Amino acid sequence: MSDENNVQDLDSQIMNRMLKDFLNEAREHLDQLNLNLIQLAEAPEEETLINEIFRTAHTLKGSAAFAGLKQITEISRKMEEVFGNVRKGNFSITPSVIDTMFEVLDILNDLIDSTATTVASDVDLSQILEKLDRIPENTVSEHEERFDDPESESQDPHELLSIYKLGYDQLVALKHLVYSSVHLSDPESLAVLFSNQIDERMGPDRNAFWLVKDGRKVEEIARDGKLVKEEDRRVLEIESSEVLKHVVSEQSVVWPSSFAEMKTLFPKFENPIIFPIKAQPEALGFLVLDPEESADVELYQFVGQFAAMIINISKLHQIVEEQKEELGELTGILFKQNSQLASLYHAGLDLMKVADPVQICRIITEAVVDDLEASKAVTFLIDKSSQELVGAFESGGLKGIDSLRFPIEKEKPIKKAVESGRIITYVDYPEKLHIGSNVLENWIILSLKGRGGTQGVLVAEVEDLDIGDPISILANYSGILLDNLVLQKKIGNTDNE
Amino acid sequence: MKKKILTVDDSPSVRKLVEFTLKSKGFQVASAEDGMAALEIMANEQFDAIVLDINMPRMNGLEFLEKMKSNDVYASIPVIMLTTEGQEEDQDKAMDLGATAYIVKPFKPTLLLRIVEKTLAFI
Repeated sequence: MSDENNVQDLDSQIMNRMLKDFLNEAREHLDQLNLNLIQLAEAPEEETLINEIFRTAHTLKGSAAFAGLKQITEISRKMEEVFGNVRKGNFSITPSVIDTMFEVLDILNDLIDSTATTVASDVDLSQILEKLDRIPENTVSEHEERFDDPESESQDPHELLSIYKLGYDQLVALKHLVYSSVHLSDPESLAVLFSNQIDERMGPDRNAFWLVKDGRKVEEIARDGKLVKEEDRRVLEIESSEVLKHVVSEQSVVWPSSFAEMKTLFPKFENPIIFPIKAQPEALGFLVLDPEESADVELYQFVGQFAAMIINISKLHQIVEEQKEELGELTGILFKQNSQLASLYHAGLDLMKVADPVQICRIITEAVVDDLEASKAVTFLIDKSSQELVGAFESGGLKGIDSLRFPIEKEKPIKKAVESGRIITYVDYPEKLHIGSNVLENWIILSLKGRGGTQGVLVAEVEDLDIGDPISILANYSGILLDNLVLQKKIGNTDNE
Repeated sequence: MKKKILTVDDSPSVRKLVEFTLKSKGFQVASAEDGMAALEIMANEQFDAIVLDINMPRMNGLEFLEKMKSNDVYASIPVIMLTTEGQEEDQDKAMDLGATAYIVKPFKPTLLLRIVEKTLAFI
């Protein structure tokens, strides 16, 4: 409870203090206005007086609004408005305007006094406000005359021209920067472009463009308009420097006076200012400038922001390109897999129509070469009694398969495939495989295996191991079919007996 | 922290598809072309789960599974089989050796994702 009271006390103390300050200030303003109005009555076209009254009314309005005094705010706002219009030449000062203004001052005085004595006052302002609103009409009818050229503040035309010229040059420089940067998409080329444009078209004597590398370091990519050769680049650890940490993680502009370290960090610069290349979550790098005296730092701030924007876009661009490439690759894979599945399906349909082991071998051998794009393939059936492989079917141009017959033992990889029931490839045994008079290099061997055991072997020459999966699906399927045929034969034999 | 998954398959296309599928859900993915290569990678990096093919040269999936499950360092990493071997005996063998799940190729990416997510939710 007591805490709360203290807080309230504190609040009201502050409020009182503020109010007191405001009232003192407001009285000074009223005195000033009073004096100026008297002077204005003597010299109604005196611009400095009009400007001064306008500014005083403006200040009074602002501080009254800050102190929460609505009536004072409103009435001084009106007064400001009237003199704003006079400044613009919309109408001129007449004796009746001066009179109305003195009336306004009286009311303001009353309002300020009543605020000071905390007498709750609700002065009716409608009359005076209405009077203020009517000022333009009255004065125009009273006075036909107007100021000739209200905008012409006594500005030296040469000075004005040189300001415009500077602004124009800056615009041209920025335009070049914008146009040339759209054609570049990698951060290093952009760094060189920015450094070059600043060097050639803008004021700073020295500049350097640094980019963050591997998240931990910064590297000087371009200096004074030129790419720094990779072997000549300065590379600094971000952690090693307060300035670098500040620029990269806080991402705020660093002035020469902010850190004593600035001078040692950029020894070639006289008064280096650093502009971060802002990005989420950390800066991508920074721009170091040695601005000319009386430089328009805001311009360089803009250049820094623009560099950040363009480099961010180039990064996004890179990501999009990478993703596009990846998607293209995946589409290719999916397309290939889809066509493999389609051919597996058709081979499956064909397999269901046949009941002869050699026909089964024909279908899968052809499918492996025609659909799965192996360059050569051959199937063997196993003669259980002699443990020999008997050539069944060939595709892709292997010679002498019809009459080929050899023991499983003869080729070690084939023996291994039959025994393990698994795919064996040239990666397991990095040597050539001899099938009769044929020599295979990138070979794979699959056993055609069902529940009853291995019924045959499929050997193929492939480009890579990518088709291993669809081939083994075919091998599995045909293995089971061959197994079933053997089983049926057995049942048939027992029926006959 | 992103969960890290190792995919082991001899087919570059399958590795790519699995990688893409898992990365799309924010997993970090490394890949190996057979069991031997997988063990080499695992010596230097830790993984939260493994997606494993059976038919591979040098060291096939079942041999790899047996090796890693008998090594205390790796034994607790869940293994999801992703293979063309649809036969029951292979499935039984893989589950006996400690595999968590068994998916037959060609696989539905959404199924793989759901199984990987469920598997990781349990550890």
